[in-house]
Amino acid sequence: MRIRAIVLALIGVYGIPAQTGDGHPFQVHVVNSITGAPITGANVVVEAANNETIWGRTDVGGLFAGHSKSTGKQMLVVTRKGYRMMGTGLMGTLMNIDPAGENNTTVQMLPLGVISGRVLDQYGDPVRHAEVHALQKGELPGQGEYFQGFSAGTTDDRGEYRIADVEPGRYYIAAEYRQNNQAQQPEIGGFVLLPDVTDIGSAQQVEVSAGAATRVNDLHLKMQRAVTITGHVKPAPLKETNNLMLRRGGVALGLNMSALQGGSSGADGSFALHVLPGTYILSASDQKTGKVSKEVTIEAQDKDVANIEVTLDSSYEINGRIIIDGPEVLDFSEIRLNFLGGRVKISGDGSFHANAFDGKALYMLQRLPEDWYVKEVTVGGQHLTGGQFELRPGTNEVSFTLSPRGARVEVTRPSTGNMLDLAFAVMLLPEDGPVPDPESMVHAELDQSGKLVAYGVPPGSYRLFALDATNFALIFDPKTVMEKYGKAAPLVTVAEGEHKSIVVPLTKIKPE
Amino acid sequence: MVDRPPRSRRSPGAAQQTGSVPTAALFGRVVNALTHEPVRRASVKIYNSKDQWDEITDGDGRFKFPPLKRAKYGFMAHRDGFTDRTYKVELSDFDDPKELPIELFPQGVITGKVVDGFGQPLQRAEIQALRANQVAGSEQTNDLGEYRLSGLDPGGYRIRATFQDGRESEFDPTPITTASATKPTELAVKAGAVISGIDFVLNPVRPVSLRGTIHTETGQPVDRASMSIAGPDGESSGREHVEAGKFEISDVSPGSYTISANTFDKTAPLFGSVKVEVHGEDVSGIDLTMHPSPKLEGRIQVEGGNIASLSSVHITFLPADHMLLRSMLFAKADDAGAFGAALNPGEYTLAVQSLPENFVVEKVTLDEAPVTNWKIKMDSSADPKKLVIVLAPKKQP
Repeated sequence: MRIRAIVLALIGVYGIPAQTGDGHPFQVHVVNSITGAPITGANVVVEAANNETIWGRTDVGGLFAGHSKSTGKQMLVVTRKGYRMMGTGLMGTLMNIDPAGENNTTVQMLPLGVISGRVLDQYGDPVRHAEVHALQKGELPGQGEYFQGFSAGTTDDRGEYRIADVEPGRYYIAAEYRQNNQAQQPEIGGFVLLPDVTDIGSAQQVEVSAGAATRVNDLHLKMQRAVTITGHVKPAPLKETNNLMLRRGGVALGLNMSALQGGSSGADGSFALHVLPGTYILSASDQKTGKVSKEVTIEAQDKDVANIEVTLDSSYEINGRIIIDGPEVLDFSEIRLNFLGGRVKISGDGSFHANAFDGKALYMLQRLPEDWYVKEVTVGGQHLTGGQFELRPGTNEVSFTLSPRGARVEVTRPSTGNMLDLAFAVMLLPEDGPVPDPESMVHAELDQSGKLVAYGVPPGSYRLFALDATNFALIFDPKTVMEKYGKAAPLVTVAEGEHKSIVVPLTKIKPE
Repeated sequence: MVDRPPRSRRSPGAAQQTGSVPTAALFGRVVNALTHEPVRRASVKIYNSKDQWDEITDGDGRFKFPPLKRAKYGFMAHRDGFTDRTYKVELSDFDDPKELPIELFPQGVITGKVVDGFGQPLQRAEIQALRANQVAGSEQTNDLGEYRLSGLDPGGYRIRATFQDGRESEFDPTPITTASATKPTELAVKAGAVISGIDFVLNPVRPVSLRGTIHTETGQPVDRASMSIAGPDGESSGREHVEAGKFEISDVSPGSYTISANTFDKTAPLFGSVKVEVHGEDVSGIDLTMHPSPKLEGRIQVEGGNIASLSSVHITFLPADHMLLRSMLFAKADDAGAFGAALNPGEYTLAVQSLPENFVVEKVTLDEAPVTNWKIKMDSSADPKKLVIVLAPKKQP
């Protein structure tokens, strides 16, 4: 919400107050982008100078008529369940209020899709309260592909479901039922993907068109009783500890299904995990010692699985040092370093020690002084690109070389008189090499004084991308921005310690 | 069975049902009490005070437990969409093993639609079935504004619809709007019945703020108090803030409410409540006067036995009226059995817990009048009420 607050604060600075008491009339016409039909009951919000917010709903003709006390560009946001505003970023679009004009704006709303169907059990009886998700493939750097659900529905007593507000596209359909343990009844449940398969490789996708209701074939959930996996963690933790991680085998489902569950062992190391039948991968860890077990694949199908042993016999230790490139001195107590875990303590000489719980790590190094940058990272003596790296069991040597001579790039804003023409953030993406993730890329956000300055920029050539109030959310997707707009973006090259001020007009990214 | 042969689960450490002890395998069939069709994948369990065995019915509604020791057990059948059924397994069920006939009554369904003033469907409106001011079931409307509220046991229900729009993400500046409506008459739901056409028209509006002063009977401002606001069905609404004798409750939808407050002072607690009507505009100048909370002085007496200490005994007071603000209250007896509580005026259901072994509650009196059905009523009288709980040894059968 910080960005919205800054936007509104700056609207207050740059907005032009109206000269009339009632304000300047404007009209917003809201229409279906496919059919052109007016949309009734849409929320229309206009955010203008001095934090003035005008809100109302469209009438039966899809019209909202209002008055604004400000002139110039103002933020316009239209929302309506079942629709998405077209041609905007996450924060809306800009509407110009001309004191001498008619100020008619038409907003196109994309009608979202609906997926409907029915979930039955193996006997053909409807399954009530099954969760049905529309899944799309995603990928996390270093984590591989996963399937994420953004829309979901729940079946009624007839097994019928409707998943609404689905963006046009292709989706896998997954249904899961898990009877809660009310009245201590045995746990039963099931999981299925369209068309009645349980592995994503055999699943089919469904095409959803804008504004269309897509009826899919019945899903047949094989309702099965939960089975119990019992065993021991060795050595025993001596007190009950939440130390187990169980995940469904196969492709990761990044949604709130029983794809991942934690568990704990007793003081003697014994554990009992109740799972729906399937293939699972079990691992254990000990936060105190940093010891981890190997992953154990368990086929838990139609009977309980006993005598599983997981042994805490490995560790992924990180021994490291921070080196300063030059005679400068750094107070390491101010630095925040972590490897996807708690803050790592850095000794006065720059050395540190950390434990990771699997073979993957991501470093975060924050609160560096102004102009300092991470010049080089090595893992096991090998140069690292990006923030993620693989660990080997045992001790891993990691070193960070910090330089106080980062470049500084100041982006001068164009002076059009209206703050909504301004960039609110600038991304500096390297011309060569991989596109960094949002956490590690160089960027600058508009500060309260209205400046955009990137500090601690490593030497190199960068494409600059300006994000305005309407498309600021693209800062979370540098890869797409580079792919789509990289060639047209201004290029800046900086040397170590160099300060540059960019005065060329910035490339405006069209809203998605 | 659902997917494989039946089996049983027992709690760890349960005694083995083997050896010379006579055993028998109980079996039966679960059917729909109205249609007599089999009820598949129903959960059935047999239990006693120590152990539990459970099974799932097969495609013909049948179940079979493993051999169990001849004894009395409890039996329960549960299936989503049906009312739970309990049954007592008698010794005779072991003497003459035959199929136990278990009939489950299908639950009722209420359906309808929620639209706005334009007749446009309202998606994600919340529909609740209220029974004795408790939410017995809830569902949301779909994109067509339709709902099916299922899983309702036979009985009378009030149906409430609420809707909230706006602020769906941090990038959504749409102000929050809300609306609610309750069907004033009770709907009688019968087993297996589908009641259709329970429709609502809701017109979401901006919630408002309520402001006022909070003070003692002598006019002293109250600095700190816990506040709540509740509608006629006990639904909560709004966000409360109290400071220096003034209060503000924001995000309140139109409707009739009771605002209640209690101070945190344990020795001389105060309470107050005031009714307010909200019509879509901010309400100011609400006067909330706090009065001393009525006190209850309690004592546990033991008849026909000796107990060294009564300090294990807990007494619970559950308010019958949700608008009393205070939820469940607890009191703990001292060694001699004395306890005390400050309760807002109203009716409470009493519960006495953690009784000494082999003792039961023989009788309860309030100001020497017998308490029936565990209900007591507190008025705003300044005089403390005397609650006496009499314990006696459990009678042998």
